[in-house]
Amino acid sequence: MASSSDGAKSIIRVRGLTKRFSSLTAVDQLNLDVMPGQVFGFLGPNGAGKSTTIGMMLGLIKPTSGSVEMFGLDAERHRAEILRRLGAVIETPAFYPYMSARENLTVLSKYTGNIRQSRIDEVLDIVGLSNREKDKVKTYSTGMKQRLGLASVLLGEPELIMLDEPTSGLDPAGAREISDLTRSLATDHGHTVFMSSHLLHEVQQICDQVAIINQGRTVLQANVDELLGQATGIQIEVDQPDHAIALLTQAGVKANVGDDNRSVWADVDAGRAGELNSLLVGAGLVVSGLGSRRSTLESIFLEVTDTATEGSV
Amino acid sequence: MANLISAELLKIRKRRATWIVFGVLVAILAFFFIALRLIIQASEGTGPDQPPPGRFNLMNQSLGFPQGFGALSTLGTQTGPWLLIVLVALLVGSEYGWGTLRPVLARGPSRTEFLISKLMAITIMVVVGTLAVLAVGGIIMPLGDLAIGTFDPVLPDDFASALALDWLRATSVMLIYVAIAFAAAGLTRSAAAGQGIGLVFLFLESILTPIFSGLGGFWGELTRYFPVNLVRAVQSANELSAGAFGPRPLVDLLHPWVGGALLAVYFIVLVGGTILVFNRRDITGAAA
Repeated sequence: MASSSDGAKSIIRVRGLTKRFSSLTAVDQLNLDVMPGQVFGFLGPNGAGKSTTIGMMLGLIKPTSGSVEMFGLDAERHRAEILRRLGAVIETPAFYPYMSARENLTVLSKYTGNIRQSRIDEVLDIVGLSNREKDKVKTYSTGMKQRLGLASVLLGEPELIMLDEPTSGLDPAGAREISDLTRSLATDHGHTVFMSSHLLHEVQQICDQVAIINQGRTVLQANVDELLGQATGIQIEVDQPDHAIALLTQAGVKANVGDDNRSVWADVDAGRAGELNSLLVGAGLVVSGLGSRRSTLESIFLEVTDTATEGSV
Repeated sequence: MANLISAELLKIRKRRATWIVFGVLVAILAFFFIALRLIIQASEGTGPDQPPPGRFNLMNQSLGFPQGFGALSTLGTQTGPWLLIVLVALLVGSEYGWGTLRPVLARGPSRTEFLISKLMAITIMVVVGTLAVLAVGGIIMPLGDLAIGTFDPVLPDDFASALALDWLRATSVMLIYVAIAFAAAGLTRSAAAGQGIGLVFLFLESILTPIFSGLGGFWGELTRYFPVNLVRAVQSANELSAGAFGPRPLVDLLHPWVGGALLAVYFIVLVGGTILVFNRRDITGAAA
């Protein structure tokens, strides 16, 4: 397997991956490293190039240039071997609608090869479809199809699972169910999971590491805990937010009204909280709360995708 | 490869359209070999403009057991292509419409392996289908005989070998229509477009043959190379006579071996071209 700068072995290593469709560059010099055992979130706005990248990793779309290595093997030259070691669901899982879940899995197991029939029972059980296994897939809800999609990737007991928008089209309960199932694939079953999504809350909850792409380029790759652990300012609960912003601005502190329209966000180091408190209380304002403000994946996502978009204009 | 063919056969077997098409074919044969014979008998000697009595006898004999197998081969290769194009285009084109190509190809088989296994499964379906048609014919012909009271179970000498060779010719020539539907649906990435192109092709072949042969010269010569006339050329070697239902070619047919060789060339070009294009394409979303 390819080694990253810290010496760990990447299960997926993408370098300079580019795909051009006529005049449109869908993926542009993309780089990625995914480590074994992780749940890796691959994020980006709609049209950022996520599905095209996954298509290239799986050999469904031919790259214009660049390289993909998986399990330390070149994806183009060792396609069949690599695909035997991974399971993938691309966007909405597609099945033969006139067949039952069991029949669909039987067909797919023949393409995968060397699958025990009892494995079909096992994966149907894991995703909770055992009681509907004989029903035709055309009668399934979107959530059931997603669960069947997960069952199909588990058939070959893959080392790596690739999921493209696994909660796409699901209601909140269904999305939560699939998210929990996805997380358990890594924690309970030991799979590495690579999932694309634009649902940031979901990714924040289940992923260990994320890469954010925009306009086909990687704009950020980092550990989720580290990203969310970064304090980005101070949140102040105050009775007169507009007055407080004016005072802070006069003192040279960049300040904005918070999302709730009642608090003030000051863009300073958390160590200056006492100083700001004194300033506001001294001016006769009532400060009812004061604390460091943590990043959310959403704020980071919006920041890096906005920056990248502005930079490209 | 055996696993892939097995997967394709399962898909074909579970598809309702397969059984509907087979049912339609059996219904058509039942019409010819039972209903038509009853109609012929009932109308004999009645009404103006009757064909001579010998003609009725010939038509009845041509549809009776065992002579009817000759007619069965001819009728099968005339009606079969229309049904086969509808079914094969559906089997190939649906993979695009449902978006099932991506999950299948993401499991390891190469694109060439996928298409070849699909083609082989369809070929097995055609072989089994034509054998089933023979079996159905073997049942409905005596039923037709019994209905009009002419059943004679005696088989001529060498009947089995002649039937086997005729069946082999009928089955192999059908593969050109498999290739046409396979290419039309594969290249257009659509079942409906594949069916439309295939059926329009059959229609054009049937109307252009008399027009071009009437024009003669280059156009008449060109007509000899139409698949329909190459199929007739191969079947001209049949040993079992189709009797009153035998084809009356409007063109001077090529030698059976030449016809067979040209059909093989057409088949290879259509299938090879489809595989070549399929290998170069990006497989994106459903119906992409």
